[in-house]
Amino acid sequence: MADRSDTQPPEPSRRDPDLWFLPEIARVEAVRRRYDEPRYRVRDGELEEVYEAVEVTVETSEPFPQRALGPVLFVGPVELSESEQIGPARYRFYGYDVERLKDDAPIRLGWFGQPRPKGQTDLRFSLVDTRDDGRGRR
Amino acid sequence: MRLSEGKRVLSPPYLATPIYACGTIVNVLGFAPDARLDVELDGTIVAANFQAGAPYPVGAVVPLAAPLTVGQRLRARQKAFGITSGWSSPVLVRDHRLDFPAGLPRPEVDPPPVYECGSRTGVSNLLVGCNVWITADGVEVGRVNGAVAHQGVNVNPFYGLGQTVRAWADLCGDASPPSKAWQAERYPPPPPAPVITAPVAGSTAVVLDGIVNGARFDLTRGGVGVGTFRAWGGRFIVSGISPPFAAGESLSATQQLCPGDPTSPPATTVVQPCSALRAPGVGPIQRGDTVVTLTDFVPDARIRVYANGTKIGDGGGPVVLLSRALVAGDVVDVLQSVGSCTSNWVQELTVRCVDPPVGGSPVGLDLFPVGWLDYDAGTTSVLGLTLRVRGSVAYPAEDDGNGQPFNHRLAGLGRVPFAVLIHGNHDDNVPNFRGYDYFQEQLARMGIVAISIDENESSARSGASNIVERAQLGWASVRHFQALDGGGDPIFGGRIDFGRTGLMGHSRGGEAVVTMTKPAAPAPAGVTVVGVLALAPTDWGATNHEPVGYPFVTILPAGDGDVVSNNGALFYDKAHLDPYRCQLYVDNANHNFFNRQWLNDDARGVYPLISRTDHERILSAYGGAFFRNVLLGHDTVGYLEETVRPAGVLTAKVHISFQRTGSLIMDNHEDGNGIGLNSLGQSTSQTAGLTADECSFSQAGAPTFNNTFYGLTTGMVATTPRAGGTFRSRLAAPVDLTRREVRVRVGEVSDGGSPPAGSTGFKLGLETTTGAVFWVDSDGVGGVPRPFDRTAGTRLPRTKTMPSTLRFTASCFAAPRKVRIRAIRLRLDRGDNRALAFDDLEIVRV
Repeated sequence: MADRSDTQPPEPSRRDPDLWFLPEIARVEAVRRRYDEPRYRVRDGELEEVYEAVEVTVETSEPFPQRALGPVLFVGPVELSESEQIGPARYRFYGYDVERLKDDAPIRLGWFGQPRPKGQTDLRFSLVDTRDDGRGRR
Repeated sequence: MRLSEGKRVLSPPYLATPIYACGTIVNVLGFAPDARLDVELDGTIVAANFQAGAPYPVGAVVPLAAPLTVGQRLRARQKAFGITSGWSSPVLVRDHRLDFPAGLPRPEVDPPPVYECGSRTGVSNLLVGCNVWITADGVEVGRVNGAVAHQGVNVNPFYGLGQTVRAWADLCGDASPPSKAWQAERYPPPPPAPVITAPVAGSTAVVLDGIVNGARFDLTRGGVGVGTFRAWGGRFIVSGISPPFAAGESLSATQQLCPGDPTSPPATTVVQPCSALRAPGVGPIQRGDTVVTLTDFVPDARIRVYANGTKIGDGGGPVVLLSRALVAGDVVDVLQSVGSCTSNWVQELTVRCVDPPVGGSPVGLDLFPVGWLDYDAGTTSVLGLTLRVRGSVAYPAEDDGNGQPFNHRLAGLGRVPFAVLIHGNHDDNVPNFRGYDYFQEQLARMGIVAISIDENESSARSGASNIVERAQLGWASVRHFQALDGGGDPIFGGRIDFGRTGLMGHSRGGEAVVTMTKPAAPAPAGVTVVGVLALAPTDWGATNHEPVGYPFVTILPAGDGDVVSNNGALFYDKAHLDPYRCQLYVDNANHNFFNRQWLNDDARGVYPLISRTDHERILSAYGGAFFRNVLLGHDTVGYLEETVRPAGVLTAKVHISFQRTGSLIMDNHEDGNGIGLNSLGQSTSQTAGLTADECSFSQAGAPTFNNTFYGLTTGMVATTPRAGGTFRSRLAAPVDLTRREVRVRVGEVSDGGSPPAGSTGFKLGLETTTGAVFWVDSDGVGGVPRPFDRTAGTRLPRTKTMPSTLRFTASCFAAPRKVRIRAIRLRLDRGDNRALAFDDLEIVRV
């Protein structure tokens, strides 16, 4: 008599998105900018107004996953953790300690709070312009 | 095994409590099958030799000649096996209006849903003795006056398709809100065959499962009908079958909903011989317990309980009262028998010093219907950004549904507290703020206005300023509700007490809610934060990590695949004791499954996970206990302190750190005075090969023992190459431990890899002023939790060291009463050469 019991291996688990995916940098541009309306940064738990920053705009091969942690841009030893998405695969990172950003420093992407990514990069930091165009926070 | 009947012990039964005035019944439980009961009211026996029947599931419902009045005293005793038990503890009749000033709790149709032709409906969340009735399309179709807590109500006529079914209750003329409305659905015929658990010979009861809600089933025995029974669905127990079953008898059952529809296929079984009677299941027991709670037993079984071979309890499930309190180390055997059949098996347990009982569900408080609204208050300016102020609100209402009026009886008692929920960063195409709707609803039905704020517009940015942005946007919603409250809004006008505001945030929202108590995001005038719950919070650096001025709770999923550093540990370690702090480290939990809108496993399947439902139950139970305490003033801290465990939660997965103000802190290692002195400035010593030193329990501090610590505190790591290495810490003055307990935070130190096989532990000793030392093993108080293996992780595959709090109650130590101690010892006695991390050694008044 045929056995009526069925069996098979479990279904393969659904491939959830990889939160740690880091896109490639397609293009990068750094501009020093002064603001009429302040931006804000947090230092030592205190909110501060800032009127000057280096804006590093990065175009990436794909968007970053949206998650609790966020992308950071390493400019040499400096980690830029303040950022905003300004296009589908376009991000702007803000460096408030302007003097710490050195020309020719290597540029890498990483995740906030995580070890610095290793490996070579051909991308180098270069401040291309200084703009004082009166643009505010937005 | 020798089990002695000892003295002629027969446990007293117990009364279902609380008992309220106007009730016309007394519900007696815990008696032996077919016992006779006496019920005494104010010293007069008002029911004598009441034939009790089966002890489970309902117990005995003893009718009273007149409604009860406030202040009367009731008690009961049982007579069985030629013995009369002692009286149960007397129960004072209370006024329900004192416990439920806004009216009776809301009845729950339990289980739902209901079906066309349903003939019986279960109703729970009832006050014992109340009247309960069912309406279908507004017409009463069933009633029971003098109900038990979970009452079945027969329905006539049966439900029609699409009818709206609700349950109602009243007591002393005080009516409850209606239950949630259920529409009678069509259950496609035929229903499935029920499942019959084979009874054993001698039993007079049979258990059927798989009954469709409201169905009627026919039970036959040897082909002869036993009867037709109406059932509320799920499990049904047929009791009082005569004569008792004999081995080999065949039983069969079919069920049906609508007359004329096909019946189910038959379920069949055969009565098992007496030898098949298994041991009962028993819940946790700890020193001092005077009852044993059964988790699995034959419904008509006599239950006997023995301690060290001598009988100390004899009655029926689910709870048997004992003739003496249990002592740590007692060997307890629990035996069941039906009729003349006594099981060959006992359930044997050794009484632990600490093994907290399972209490109710902290979110089981269901008082009010829940109204819902989405709100949109336009835009506001936050850090130079223009953002929408919007979200959803759940509130105690007159009835369920969108825009329902605020519950007028609750409003008549004064303003109600306010809970603010903030989600984290996730796909902004998803309505992330709706992910905690279950928790909002649970809070609202307790009498709390609970908002969940839509912060998707903040998802384009990252950084510490983004956390401040989220925090300030949170306050913008609160200001909106202040405006509604102060502006005569028809629902919220004059309803909300912003002086009792609680915050809960998840992920970036978890950091945001801590930030909402900091100068970067100051609270609006008139708002006082009385508690903060940070669920898997990030640490972007928006705060100084110090929750201060309120009780603080954080939940850390051990399998978090996003906030892999479990940053909430930083906040716990820095939280001030105002007056307490609590950390829940949850094994097999991930980052996302607490939010119903976050569908992906952030750890991508590398860790075995508890279900999404179990994630939600953890937030509901512990978050509910927290908000009940801080917002409603309820005595629910015990769930956070782990003196009681929440029902329905996988508590074995939850490892709790807890500390409250007012304790005598012997050593928190924060004083910078080195390992040789404790926080009292008293000397410590290390003997028998033990090596201990203070280390930073963090990723950044120094010195560290290794890189597996993720907190922000200093503690002590102790190792010993051989069993017996001991650390001793002196008190400044002798301490009497009466009504006190010793607590210490302890963790098995991980090396970052997979934890070694088998647990480790230690002994804690009290050294008296005479030099005697009394020891208790960590295994007797719950044990040192195993590290959660994270080595399968794709990022940070490092198993963490996560200490949690162990409680050594003074009575665990076999020390003479009122003994005074001068030092505490920690002895690493396992001989496994594993390091243990200790922190916050303290003596706590309980």
